Amino acid sequence: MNKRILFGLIVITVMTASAVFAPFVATHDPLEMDLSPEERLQAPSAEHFFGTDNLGRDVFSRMVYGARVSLSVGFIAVFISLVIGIILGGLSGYYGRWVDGVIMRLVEVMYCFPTFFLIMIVITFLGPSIVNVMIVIGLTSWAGLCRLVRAEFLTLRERDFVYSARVQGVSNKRIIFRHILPNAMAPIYVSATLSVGGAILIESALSFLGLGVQIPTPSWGNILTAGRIYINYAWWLTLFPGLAILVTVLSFNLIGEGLREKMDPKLKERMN
Amino acid sequence: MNSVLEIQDLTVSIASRKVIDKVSLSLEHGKVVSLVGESGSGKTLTALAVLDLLPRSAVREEGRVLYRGRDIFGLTGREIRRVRGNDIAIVFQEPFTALNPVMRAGTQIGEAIAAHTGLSGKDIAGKTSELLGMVELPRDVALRYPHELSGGMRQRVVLAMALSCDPEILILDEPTTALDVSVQKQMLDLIRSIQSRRDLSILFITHDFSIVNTIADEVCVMKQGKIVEKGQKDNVLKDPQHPYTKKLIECIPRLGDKRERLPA
Repeated sequence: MNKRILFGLIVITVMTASAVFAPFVATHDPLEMDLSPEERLQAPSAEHFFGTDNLGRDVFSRMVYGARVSLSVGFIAVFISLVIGIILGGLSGYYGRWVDGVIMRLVEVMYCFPTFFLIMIVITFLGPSIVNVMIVIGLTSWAGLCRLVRAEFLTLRERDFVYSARVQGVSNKRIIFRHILPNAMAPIYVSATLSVGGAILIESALSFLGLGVQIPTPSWGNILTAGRIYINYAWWLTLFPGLAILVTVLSFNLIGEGLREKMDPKLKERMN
Repeated sequence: MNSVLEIQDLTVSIASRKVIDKVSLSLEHGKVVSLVGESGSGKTLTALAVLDLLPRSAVREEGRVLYRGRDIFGLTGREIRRVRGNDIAIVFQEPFTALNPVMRAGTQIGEAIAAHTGLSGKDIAGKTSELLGMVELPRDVALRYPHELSGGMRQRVVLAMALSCDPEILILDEPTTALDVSVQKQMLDLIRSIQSRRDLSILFITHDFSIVNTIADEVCVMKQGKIVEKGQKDNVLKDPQHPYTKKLIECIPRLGDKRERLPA
């Protein structure tokens, strides 16, 4: 297997496993505070792998629980945008004409908004919570995917096997879901994998700004925020969550890139 | 007259150029009519028009297509879909692209049956393997994906798809052109035996008069969207009237022929 995909998969698997089994992986209660001076802002040690924060909480344990937030936001937000993107892109590419016109104008409108500020405004109105963050990221990030799906549908629609399915009297629904969509999946997988990284980044940024996951629930973004005041003498508070975000997003991007490379020759072959 | 399919004065234009010009032909029950002509002469478009499948850029100027006396162009979307595959089926030229690469052959053969009958999955599977037997393929081909099959096998799968709903009329658009000669021969033999067993009416599109010779009862020669000659096969082959027909017939390779420049 491709080295990049392998690296990415290992990292994601480890992250996912520790998020799922957080109670067993974490060494301390992520919310338990200890305000005694000797417990606060401790440097990394055998007792506290990533040190402790200003309230004496174990940073490693908080990050393990924080992985739950980051990964679930990433996956669920992308799932939402996949559903919307595939349905709208598919309709647009398959039916064309005015359906295509209306949906593409909608996509252009979505493109016009600076997504991050749109998300910030919506979150301000709805109130920050994990669920809201997932939904809002999902609802604002489908436009690119929609165009991709549309383009795939446009080319596949003209392929002989689609034509002959139509000649056989197969219904539009079946043509879309059994003939066209399975053949369009390769680029969709690539784009979805890349978007998971993007969604995690947006969540971290929102949490960093205090608009995402609310304290005391840990997320990589808000651990980072809490640590930024102490950056001069407690580097572990910012380094580890920062690294976690970096490595996770990088892994998703590597998987995405690796998949793209693997699938491209197939795409070329299919064009013949 | 016992014609199952009648094309009357069909005229189709693309970008205001007439690509099919007043074409009329009739297909009688149990007969094989061959539509012959060079590429670009409008053969395939004629076939597509029969099922109202003309591309969006093509405009139908006039003419009718009657299937059992009913005008195809007057049917609603639902009605035309019932005709497609069920009463009139088509086999296209290219076996390599006519099958969905990510769907098992058996599933694709069963699709038309599922679309036109209320049969259960098990019955469809039974019918599918029966069809594979008819096109002389082993039953386990049903579980294969198209890339695992050779060109000839794929074309047989496509033929099985077309036959799946016992159509009355089969339109074959150059079904053997993409195959090599020995496979071509097997395919033609197969088509002929199925045709006589099932009493099918076939509209056979080709550019090759030696295929016409083996398979057709009647011949229509098409050139630049017009039918230039029409008649019983033997008459046309023995005594071609139009110079274009003569040239096409000269293209049939014969044993002992000296190889010369192609007549052009």
